[in-house]
Amino acid sequence: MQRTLLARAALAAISLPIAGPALANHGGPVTGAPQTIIIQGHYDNAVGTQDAASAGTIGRALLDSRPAQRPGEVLEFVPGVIVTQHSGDGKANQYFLRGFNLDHGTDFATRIGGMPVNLPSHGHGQGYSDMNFLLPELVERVEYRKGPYFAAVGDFAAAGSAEIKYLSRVAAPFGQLTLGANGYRRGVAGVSGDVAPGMTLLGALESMQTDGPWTVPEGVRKFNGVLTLTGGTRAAGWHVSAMGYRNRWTATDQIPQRLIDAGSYQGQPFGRFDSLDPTTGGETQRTSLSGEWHRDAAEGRTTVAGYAIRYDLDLNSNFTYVLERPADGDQFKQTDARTVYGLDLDHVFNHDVGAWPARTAVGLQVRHDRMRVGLYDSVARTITSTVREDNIRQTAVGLYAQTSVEITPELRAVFGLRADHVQARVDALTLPANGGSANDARLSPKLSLIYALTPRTEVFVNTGRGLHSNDARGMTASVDPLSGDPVDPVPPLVPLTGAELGLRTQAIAGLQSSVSVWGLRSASELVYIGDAGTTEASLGSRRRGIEFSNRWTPLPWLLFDADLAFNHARFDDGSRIPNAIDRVASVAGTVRDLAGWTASLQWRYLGSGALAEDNSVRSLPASTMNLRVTRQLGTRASLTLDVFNLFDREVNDILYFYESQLPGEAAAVADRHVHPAEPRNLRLTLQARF
Amino acid sequence: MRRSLFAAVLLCLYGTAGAHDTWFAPQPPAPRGELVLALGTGNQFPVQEVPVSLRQLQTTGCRGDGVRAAPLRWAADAPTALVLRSARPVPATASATCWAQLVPIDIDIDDATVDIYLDEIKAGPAVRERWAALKARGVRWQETYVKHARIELDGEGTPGAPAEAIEGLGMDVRLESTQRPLRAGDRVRFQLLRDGQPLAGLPVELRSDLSPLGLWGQTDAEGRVEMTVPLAARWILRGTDVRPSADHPDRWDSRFVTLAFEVRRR
Repeated sequence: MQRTLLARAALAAISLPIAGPALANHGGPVTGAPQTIIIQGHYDNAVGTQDAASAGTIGRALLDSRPAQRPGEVLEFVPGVIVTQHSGDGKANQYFLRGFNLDHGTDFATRIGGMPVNLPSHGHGQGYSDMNFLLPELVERVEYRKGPYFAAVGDFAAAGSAEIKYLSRVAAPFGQLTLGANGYRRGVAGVSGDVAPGMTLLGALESMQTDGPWTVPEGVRKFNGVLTLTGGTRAAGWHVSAMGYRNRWTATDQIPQRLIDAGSYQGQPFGRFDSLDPTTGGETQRTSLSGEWHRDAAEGRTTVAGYAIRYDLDLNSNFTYVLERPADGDQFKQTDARTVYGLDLDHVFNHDVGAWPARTAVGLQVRHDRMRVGLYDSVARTITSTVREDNIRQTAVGLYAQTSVEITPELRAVFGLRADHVQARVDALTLPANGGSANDARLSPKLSLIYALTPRTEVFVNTGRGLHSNDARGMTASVDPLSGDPVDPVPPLVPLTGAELGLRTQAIAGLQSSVSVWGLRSASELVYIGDAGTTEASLGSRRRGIEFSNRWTPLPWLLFDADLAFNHARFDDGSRIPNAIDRVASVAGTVRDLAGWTASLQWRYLGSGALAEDNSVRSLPASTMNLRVTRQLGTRASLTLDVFNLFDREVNDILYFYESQLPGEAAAVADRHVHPAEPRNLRLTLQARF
Repeated sequence: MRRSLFAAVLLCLYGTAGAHDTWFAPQPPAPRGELVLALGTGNQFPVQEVPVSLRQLQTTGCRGDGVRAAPLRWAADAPTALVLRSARPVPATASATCWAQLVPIDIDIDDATVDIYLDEIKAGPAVRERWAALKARGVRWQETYVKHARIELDGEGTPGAPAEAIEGLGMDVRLESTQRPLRAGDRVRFQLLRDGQPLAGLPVELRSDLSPLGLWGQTDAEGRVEMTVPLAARWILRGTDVRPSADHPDRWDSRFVTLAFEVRRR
């Protein structure tokens, strides 16, 4: 009895607030609020953490809170980026940023799990960046940068770059099943655990199928897996990761606006989701083995990373219907089979420059691509003739150094220098005259000044030179494989020069704002050629713009994001750059963990842009809203409803303007060609944690 | 039996509250390797209840093995703490020490609370007698207090040298043990300094985040005190030095100090 009373009294005591008697107030009013230290919430872009106002880190909390129709849409968390699709869901996305139609990733360098995603001299387009192997559930954070101001990134990073880091362990083993409209089915399972002292194994598998809203079912069959072994500590650690991905699909490529307007074709109704070639599409696979080792010591931090990637793509497209080959149709096949080997070395150390403390990073990046790429005429995916076929060996070497000097506690200067060298050898199997070797080297200096006006406000001045590489086949080309006309080779490396003035402030409690005014000049623009399905080196260009990003957290559980970007893009001769979008916006409100509910409503806006150099034809803006609502079911399960295109807007993912010809048309017709955004569709996800 | 003992200990401990100490709590480092620390005030370690205002920081700093001393930078305003980060990344192998001194604050305390306050900091007889005399004259307790906080962070590398005193701090605690990281059961020696000089006869308390039980000690003539840390936990050593004001005979000056550190399993 005594024991029971004692125990009850003790429990009563500990159930009282642990405040004790009234005390002298040596610290302001005591609220009794529970301890909640939130260091890294949605974004980790605190003043002092970045070298440019337009750079930042996206945390996992935000990635979890918003829906993504496609894996590549993870990049839409980068302010100013819009991700769409002009074909089937196995193909790389279309990315828009800073007045670039980045096509499939050209001029935006992406790395996932320490491996580059962009593929040079790709069968479909230079810098092709297929992120469909990304597993969003494993993303730990996304580190993004814009502009050519950072020495550690080289090719394809003129508009920006993103490094997507994967988790080394999941919080708990999980399984999730998603069911949605149009036959959408996706299952993901992940587990991690200690397999030895200090060693963690993580495994995740994904399977996805969908037919999409298309009249010709898309028939996506996607399989994806990741296996990662991590060991060591923060001071000395390593990881090895194996990934495998396979996908096949039937694509509904862009269709002419004139058919949609007519509403019928060859006596049959014709709508936005109809196809003019039911056999387009493709299949792709990617396997990789990568590893990283790092060691912290008094002399600095050394990181060594390496990767080997095997990649295949068989892509069948038809953008012009019967313009070139009235009898068989214009379908063409592009293939790419390659192996990529890469090694990255990086050493970071603290030192002094005179009386000023400094931190320097030096690095070496080596990458070798061995590929066979082909372009063929095809009918129903069967090759009817070979346009060209090439074996390419391409090696890129980047050497960089970047030093950050703290001149005063308020003023930092970051000096960077990067040397890039590319060497390519093209064995033109079908037209030997187009073969040969090419090489080029460029030095890219960088300079940033960062001044802290107050502890919560910084201004940035960034300037630097960057580059993008051209397709190796263009470097050695002498004859147009289609027309037989002589052509001039393009320079292997094209310089770009950029500058930016930025400000980041958190002067208002809970509100983080960044504004950057930027400009970028390119010696040669890569332009997407719709009727060839390729990119082509073109005139030089000038771009400028303003980006305004805001994160407002009025309450710990409430977040508002607003990102606005205005762009101005012109060729050097004053003409418009096709598909350069003038305005981009994303505004979202997110409620997190409020009585078991999490919800996010996002408005995304892809503005209008010129489709022709003379601005005679423009794209229509696209405005859509996406909704995610998640309900926690106890501690081990949750139910998520995603609604894409909430108000069922009839908008387009992308528009092009070029000539095409349909069977029955007497001549080519210059027209808008559109790929519609998917109508409203719902997905329901049940996730269980074990 | 064990349950009863546990309950009895809890009953005895309830009410042994801490004063409004201010301390550093370590947070996960930033992606680039900067140390991240939460500086907050609370009644009872480890629960920080009130953030320190950025404007309250008079001096801050952080230094480590191979990392030059530099002021801490503002990182975020959390609901219960001011989040600061080191100016530069600190290697994972490096041990580091960070500190802060807050600006002086004037405060009036009612008589009843003063008695609790003096009990709580184990004020000596000289303070109590002087206070009794002032109270008899009808003088209220008027105090100017200054908070000092320091944290020792162990890296994964070989232990560094014993912590050095921080120049310019009004009050400081040196962790003199060379065996780092500290392990449960270790005997740990501290040295209390006031204006860089050893502070003798100051009562200090060790508190862990596992129990509200405080372990008291008193500094010797060299400002040193040696205590055993029985548990693997986060700990603070706390002390408050109250003296009559040098400028105003009826006022008091007090200096609060905390040293946060971690003790690992043996």
